[in-house]
Amino acid sequence: MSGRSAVPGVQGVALRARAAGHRRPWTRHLLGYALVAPLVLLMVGVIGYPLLNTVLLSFQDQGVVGSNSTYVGFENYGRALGDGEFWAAIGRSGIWLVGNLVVQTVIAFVTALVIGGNGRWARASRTWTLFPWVIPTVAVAVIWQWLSNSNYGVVPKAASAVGIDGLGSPFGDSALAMPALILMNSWHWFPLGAVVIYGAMRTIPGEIYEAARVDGANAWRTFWRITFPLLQPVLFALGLVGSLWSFNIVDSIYLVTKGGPADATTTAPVFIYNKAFNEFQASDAAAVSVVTIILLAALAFFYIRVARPKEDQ
Amino acid sequence: MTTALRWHRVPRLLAMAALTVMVLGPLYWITMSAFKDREEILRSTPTIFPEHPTLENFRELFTATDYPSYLTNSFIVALLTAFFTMLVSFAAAYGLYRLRIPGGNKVAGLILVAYMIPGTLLLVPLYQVFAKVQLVDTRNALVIVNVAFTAPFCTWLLRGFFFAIPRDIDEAAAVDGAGPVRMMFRIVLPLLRPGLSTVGVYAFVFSWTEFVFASQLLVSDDLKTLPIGLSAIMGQYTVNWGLLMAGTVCTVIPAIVPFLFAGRYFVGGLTAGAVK
Amino acid sequence: MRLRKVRRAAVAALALAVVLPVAACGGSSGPSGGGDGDKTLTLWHMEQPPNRVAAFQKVIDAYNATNPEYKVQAQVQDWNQIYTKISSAVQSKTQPDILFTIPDFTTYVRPLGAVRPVTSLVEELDKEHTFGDAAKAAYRDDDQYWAVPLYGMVQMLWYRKDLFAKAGITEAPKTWSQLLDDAKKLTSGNQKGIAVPAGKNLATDQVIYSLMLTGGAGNFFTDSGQVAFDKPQTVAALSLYADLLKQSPSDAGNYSWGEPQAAFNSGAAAMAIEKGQYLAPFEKESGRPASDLGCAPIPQADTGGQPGSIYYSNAAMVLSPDDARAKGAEDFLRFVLKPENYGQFLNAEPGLFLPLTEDGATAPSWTDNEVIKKYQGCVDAMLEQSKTGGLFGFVDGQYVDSIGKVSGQNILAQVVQRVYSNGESPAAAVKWGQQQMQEAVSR
Repeated sequence: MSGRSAVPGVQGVALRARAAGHRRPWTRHLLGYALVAPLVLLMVGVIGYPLLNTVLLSFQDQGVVGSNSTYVGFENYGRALGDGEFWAAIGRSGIWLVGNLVVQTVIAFVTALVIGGNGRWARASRTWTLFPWVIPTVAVAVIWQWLSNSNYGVVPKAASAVGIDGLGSPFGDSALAMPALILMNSWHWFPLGAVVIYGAMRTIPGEIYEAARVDGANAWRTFWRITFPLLQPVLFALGLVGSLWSFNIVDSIYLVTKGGPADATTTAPVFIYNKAFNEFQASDAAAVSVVTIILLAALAFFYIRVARPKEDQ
Repeated sequence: MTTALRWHRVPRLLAMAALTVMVLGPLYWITMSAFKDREEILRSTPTIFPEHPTLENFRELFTATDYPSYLTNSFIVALLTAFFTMLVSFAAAYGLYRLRIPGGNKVAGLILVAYMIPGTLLLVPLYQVFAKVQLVDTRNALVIVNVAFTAPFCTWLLRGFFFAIPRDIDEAAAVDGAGPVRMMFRIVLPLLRPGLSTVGVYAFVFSWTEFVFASQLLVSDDLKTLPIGLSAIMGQYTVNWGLLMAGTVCTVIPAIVPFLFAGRYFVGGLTAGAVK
Repeated sequence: MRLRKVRRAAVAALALAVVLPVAACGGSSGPSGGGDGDKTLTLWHMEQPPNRVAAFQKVIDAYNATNPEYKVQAQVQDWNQIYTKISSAVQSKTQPDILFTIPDFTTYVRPLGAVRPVTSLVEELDKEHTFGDAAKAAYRDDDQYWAVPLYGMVQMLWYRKDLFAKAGITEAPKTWSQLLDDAKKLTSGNQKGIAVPAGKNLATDQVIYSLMLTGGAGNFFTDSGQVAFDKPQTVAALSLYADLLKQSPSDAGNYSWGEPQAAFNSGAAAMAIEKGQYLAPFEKESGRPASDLGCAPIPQADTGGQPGSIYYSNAAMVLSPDDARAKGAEDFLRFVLKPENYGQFLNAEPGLFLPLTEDGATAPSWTDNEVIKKYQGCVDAMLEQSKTGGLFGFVDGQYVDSIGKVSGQNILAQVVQRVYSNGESPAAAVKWGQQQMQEAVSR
């Protein structure tokens, strides 16, 4: 709107400054920048400044968050990189990330496929599928512990009814706590994936399927030849951002096990949280955060290189 | 022929059954438990249906807690978050992926950085930012934070949806003499409706369940949102399970209301969609 | 047409965004922090359950009704969030005037620089109402008091008299070996002898620490503040705890406060070691008469044992930015501790919040409560147990500044988990705990 009524003089100068062969007029760019500006401003204010603060903090020796501190250079980084517990936490984060990605993608995909129908079940399911996602994490955490409690939880009772006895809450077992948390977290988040995939499916024009049907393609072929490739851009975005998102989840884990039993569920973000708010080593936590961000950035870069859909550019 | 067809449907039916049990099973249990008294809810042999159904938990929820106030706050924050997220992310995605501004790729990359940061350490500096602009303890602060965290993801999501819209439409419209603004609202926006409703739902739910920022940035009791109220029920040292279940039910049900109203855009309106 | 709709929606939303904050601020009874001329004191407490919030509010309303110069307004906070929040608030100078606390939390907040010493007030109140020693000692450092003690909490051994009778046990266990024997006797079928937590949380810290106290391992710092955790008494207490866990429900590895209580009340466990929150919901949740709830002091080690139990003195710090407001805050705390108001305040959670002044323990405002009356025996026993109570880092006149790191990391609970979940020997786990604590304290 504002782009088009720009002052003509300025426009002329800018036009001349640009190569004559440039395809898009600069008013379009101006509009483009204006459209992107709110997002960038928000991110700079809400994420950028605190991030800068974290980087600065990582070169200091602050203990309790917000207490006095002095500059110590790279000391914290040396300690962070040499800390075996940190690398163990990164390893657990890898398991957490892959586990969540696989479980959630599979459930979400299946869900998106089955809730699309026209039957009564399908129509109702499109609403109730969202329920697990709408429950605040605080409640999800407590409810699953309650459901799996050995004394009054319905899950062990149901299991013993079908012959599996002595099942207790998996969250107290070092070997089972991580898989159990992944399942709980997936239960909480899979509707997001389902909604996104379902929305993307609806963007695919019906004519394409019509054509496939005329050609005699069966459902399986239609899915792999048409649905899947067309969904790729959305799946790519979901996979990338979704993974980064789940990597940084603290609340689901912290509320249930606090990283226990015996560190079995201490992922990198939980490790950072503990450092900052339980060990009161804010600067160490900041250094570990920065290292983690760099690792994630490398991972994301790699993922983009490998998985970016061809149609994109 | 008919048997073949039926066999074909088995995986689908199995998936439907599994999904139903997985989602509705726990929810059934939560709901039933909300109607049990304090003794029955802890019984070692659980009852499938409450023996003495009671409304006591709900009565306590409405009298002892500020539930109506939590609900109002949650709705205001969530609706505003959804609206502004749609606005901001649609605008940004249009600029980045349709107008293709120079440097757009860098911006898109930067957006990703937002999700690489372990949020823990952002809390304290963020509070300071809001304190400086006098926004601590306001709903607006929550809306701003929520949008700042949802909009980048939503911009990325919309990217996929933009690519699904054939580019020829633009060219055709350009030939017809439509300017970029008109093109944005008249042609692209309607086609993006599934994407935008997805974004809206996402932002709404994000805000509805958001706990950490809300509990940091809000101080006054009369501004608190549902997740804060819910976590307050699980106090230190002791848990009133029935009250917690009632609270959960009353957190989930209202969140569904907007979906029912927006159903036309979100889950209904399948006529143009893929699956018939 | 559609475009116009979008525009209209945008305008409406913008208008809403502008109006909302105005409505929000106008409606509330004043923002926190307060500007000049603001005569409202903010109070942050972390007692979130609705019944506690309401009871505290009643006391505050009663105070405000006396028309003090500064009125008090409570804002309820979350224990899990308060660490970040108070850091943020102090830095942006929006901290509350009064902040509730426990000894460890005080060591965290003090370095932030806003806590005012309240020595003369505590001494004045001590003269008037007489505090117990355990109540005030944990807040004394650098020759000053840093918080005004308000209520105490202490752990007891809770047992189900009905289940004891069924198993033919007539008396509550007094020693560790009796405790373990009884736990074994009481374990049969779906019923477990005891429910003790082993999750990585404060609940586990507290129960193991009670047993450390009765085993003579309560003080694990030397006079110069060095860690002395690795000693035979600690190993013995941990061994006992590991044995008790074998008589506990199989998922104790994730238990916190709620689960043992639920197991106890549902009859799935016959004993538990916890604080006074067991009184109020017992009848309703167990479906048994109040007389079935038994309580006893924490059993002591067979040799070298001593009476003891973990004791938390909860208190209030004053963080006001200027003297006038600080005086207002102190006036409010004076009001709370007056016997006629004190009971009302304590009965926010009857049985859990114990009086820590002499005249408070006999004040009718407290003793007239139904729960307190019904469980008179247990309440008296808790008051008695309080006299031998202690808290790690604050026993024997200590004040360990870095104790917050030990409790924050739940090192005690982690030591338990290493034995329970990883199968380490108690001695090895204690050695690990010693190292962790040394590291925590040294930096």
